[in-house]
Amino acid sequence: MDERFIAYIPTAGSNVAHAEITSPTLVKMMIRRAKKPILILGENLENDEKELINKLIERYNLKVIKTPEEMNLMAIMKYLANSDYDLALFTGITYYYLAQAATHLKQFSNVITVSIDKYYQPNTIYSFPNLSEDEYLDYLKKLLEG
Amino acid sequence: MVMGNNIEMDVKKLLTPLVKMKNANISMSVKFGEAEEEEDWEPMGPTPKPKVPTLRHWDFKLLERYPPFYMPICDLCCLCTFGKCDLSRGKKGACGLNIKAQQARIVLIACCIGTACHTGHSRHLVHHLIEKLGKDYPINLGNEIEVEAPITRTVMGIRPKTLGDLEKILDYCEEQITHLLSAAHTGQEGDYLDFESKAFHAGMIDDLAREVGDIAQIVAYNMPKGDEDAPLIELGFGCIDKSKPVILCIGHNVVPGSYILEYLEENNMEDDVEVCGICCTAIDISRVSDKAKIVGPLSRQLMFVRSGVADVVVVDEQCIRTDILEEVLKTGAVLIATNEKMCLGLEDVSHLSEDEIIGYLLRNRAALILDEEKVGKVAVEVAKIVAKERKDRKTLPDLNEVVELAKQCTECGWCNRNCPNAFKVKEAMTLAKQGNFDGFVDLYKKCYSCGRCETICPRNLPIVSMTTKVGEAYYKDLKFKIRAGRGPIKDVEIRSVGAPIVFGDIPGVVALVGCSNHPNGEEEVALIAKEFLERKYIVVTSGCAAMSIAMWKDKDGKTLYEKYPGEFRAGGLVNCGSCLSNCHITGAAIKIANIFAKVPLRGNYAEVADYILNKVGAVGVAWGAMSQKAAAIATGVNRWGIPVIVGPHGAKYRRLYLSNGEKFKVKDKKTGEILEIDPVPEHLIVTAENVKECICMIPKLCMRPNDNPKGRANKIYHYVDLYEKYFGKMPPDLEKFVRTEKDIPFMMKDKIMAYLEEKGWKPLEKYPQDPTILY
Repeated sequence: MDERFIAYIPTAGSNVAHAEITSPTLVKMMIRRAKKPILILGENLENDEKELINKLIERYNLKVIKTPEEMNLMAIMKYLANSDYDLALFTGITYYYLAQAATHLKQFSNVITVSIDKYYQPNTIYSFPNLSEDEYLDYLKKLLEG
Repeated sequence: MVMGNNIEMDVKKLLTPLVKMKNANISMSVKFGEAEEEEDWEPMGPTPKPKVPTLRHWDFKLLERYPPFYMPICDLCCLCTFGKCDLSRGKKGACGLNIKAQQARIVLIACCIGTACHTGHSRHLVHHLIEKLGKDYPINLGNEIEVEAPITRTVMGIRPKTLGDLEKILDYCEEQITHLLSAAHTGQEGDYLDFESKAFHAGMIDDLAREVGDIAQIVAYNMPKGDEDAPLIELGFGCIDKSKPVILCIGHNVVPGSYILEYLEENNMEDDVEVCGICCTAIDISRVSDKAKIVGPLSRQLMFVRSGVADVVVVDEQCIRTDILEEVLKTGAVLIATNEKMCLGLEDVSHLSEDEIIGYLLRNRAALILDEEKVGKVAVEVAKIVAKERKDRKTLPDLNEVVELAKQCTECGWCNRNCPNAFKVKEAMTLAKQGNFDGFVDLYKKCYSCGRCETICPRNLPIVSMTTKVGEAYYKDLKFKIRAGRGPIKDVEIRSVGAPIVFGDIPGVVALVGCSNHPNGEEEVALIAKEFLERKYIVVTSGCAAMSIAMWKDKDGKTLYEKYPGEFRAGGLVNCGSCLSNCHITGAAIKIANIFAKVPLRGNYAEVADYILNKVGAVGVAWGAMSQKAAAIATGVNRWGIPVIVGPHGAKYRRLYLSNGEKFKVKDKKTGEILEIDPVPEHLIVTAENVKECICMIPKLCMRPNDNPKGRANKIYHYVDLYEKYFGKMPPDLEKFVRTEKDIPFMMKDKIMAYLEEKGWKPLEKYPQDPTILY
């Protein structure tokens, strides 16, 4: 199996349903079609990644919650599960921590969750595959194209 | 000792040479031993020896405010042969169970494992000590501790006076664990809230069992009894004198270690042999003798064994690597297993004489000895012989070999991916190929030596040994001081801090406890402690967290134990002892209710817990919580009304208790009114992603509805100040915790008022003078 589609920490998956691999083009479409999208932004991004994510926020006028600065990630999950947000994007969050937190939305909500981080995240509904640094920057740039 | 029984019987017909009877009704009372009634020290409350559903009403009160939040680590149930069952997204299993109930069931099972572990440990201690000292051996914690067993008093409704009394408490614990565990069987409990209530019950039993164990060992081994000046003990790799025979004790049970110390003392060999320990046995043997040394917490286990310093390794129970036999044998040392819970497939040689066992060990290198008394002589004498044999034995690769090994690395990156924290192992290897050890030096500081990197390495590189070698070569100053576990908090200390804690003038009690599964190394626990000591919180600690706190020094080379007093007071750093000693932390909160507020304890659980929830500003922090015991401890602490913060790995416990952060309802006992109040404490158990978030969450979770305005202002001051320090901004939810303008700290008035105006804050019209959720 192509290890790009195995959880970055291989034991992080939750067994039955793992995230479908998605591409920047599909993520763009998802954002455009969503009625109320939101980005949950962690602290673990490099500077050039941060810059591109900021452009993404501006480009799609995304509502953003920074974790943990503005809200605890678990409190965010609880809030999203009971909200009318229909698409939640995640990036920059400690890998295994998001893997565990995302299972709440996966089991107990209808929010479409998408990891746009550089590692494959099995417990969201969609995820980018495991990417090298350069590939990841490319993916982010593609999100901004067109 | 009293053992009384009432006998009632109807006799239809009785014929003996002396008596002929028909239809007699006999009623009598039989007493064994000397009659001694339990004195009337306090009226009995409503819930002595609670059964599983007795405190359900209290649990449901908590669960209504803090509903369970589930993060299923696995969406299958694999417990019975109906399955595996897929429980994902609303599906039910073949037995009808849904995923919420399944998660709650797993948490209950985890809590039962943890509780059974502490109860089994305490049973072993009490059983052994009764055999040695007798059932009537008195429980005496000295003149300064009258409330000797606050948890026992509250839960059992008794005051234990002898070791024999402790046995009765364990009988109760074991009965409850059996009921709780049976509820987890297929086709039993089906509701997630009831599973949670049962998990709370397991947690409470865990607390009780720990109190029994610690009190037993304190009185039997004459450990410090609330002594704030308990001796400073040496800790760290660097404090072990390698020129002497070295005995390493690993685990949680003090019994075999104490016999080793006793044998050395009796034979005047205390200075000839090094006795050291890892994990809670280390803490407990250093409570028995200040000559015993502490290598470090659980996280240093594999590294220290690999270093080959130990000549004899004695393991007892809990938190020991299950491959310890293999690891010890690789170093040429000898392993002695001493506990029925960890026999490691070894031959039981307990029936042999000590000299025969010594011979057996020298031939076979490992054995099971269930007679701990024999371990004393055997471990010492074997260590003396083995130390000579192993004098020049090398167990770690030298630095040149580390470079050569690194050169074999293909940089596949699976070490990073298999590391629970994704530490940069591959990068350390890449640097080491050039003879640059910076990567390994950094890794050594953070790594908790689980060995998962080695397990997955396709080249079988001994990554932990390589890390250990670099650490050994680059860290010369691995010598620290830790204050020996002092046990309970004295009544007089409670009297002096009770009011300031309840009214908020002391901004909080921070209990740093738990294992070594830290997300970023040991130093973070010390930094949390330092931050709150400087702010005059009371910092209480135990177990591996207590050791981690010791492994940091200031610029003058002093540890926090050398800088701060060991008293339970503002700015005090209190090491209670081992994991068992965590009971003294909840015990202190209970004693505040009892000694300061005169709340009766006897069989009065809910009222005491309600008092703590509403008035005692304490928070538990288990930054590296890992084991099922930690799950039981945290859940037990939660039932007493004390919130807990766990590190990011704590999310893998898969259940938190999170409020929705909106206003809470309480009753004001003074006026009888039901009032909406600020959401404090906001959560009952919650994770923090990183140390910054953890530090900022602590002052928030120390807030209580009973804070007076001055006290709340003090707490808000620290909350705002810490948020600004670590995130460079005002806390984004501050408006929730400012009840009226009086709660705003004077020094920050303008800033906070501007913030509140922007948020459209309105003061609470009323807040309770005497809040309770029992209505």
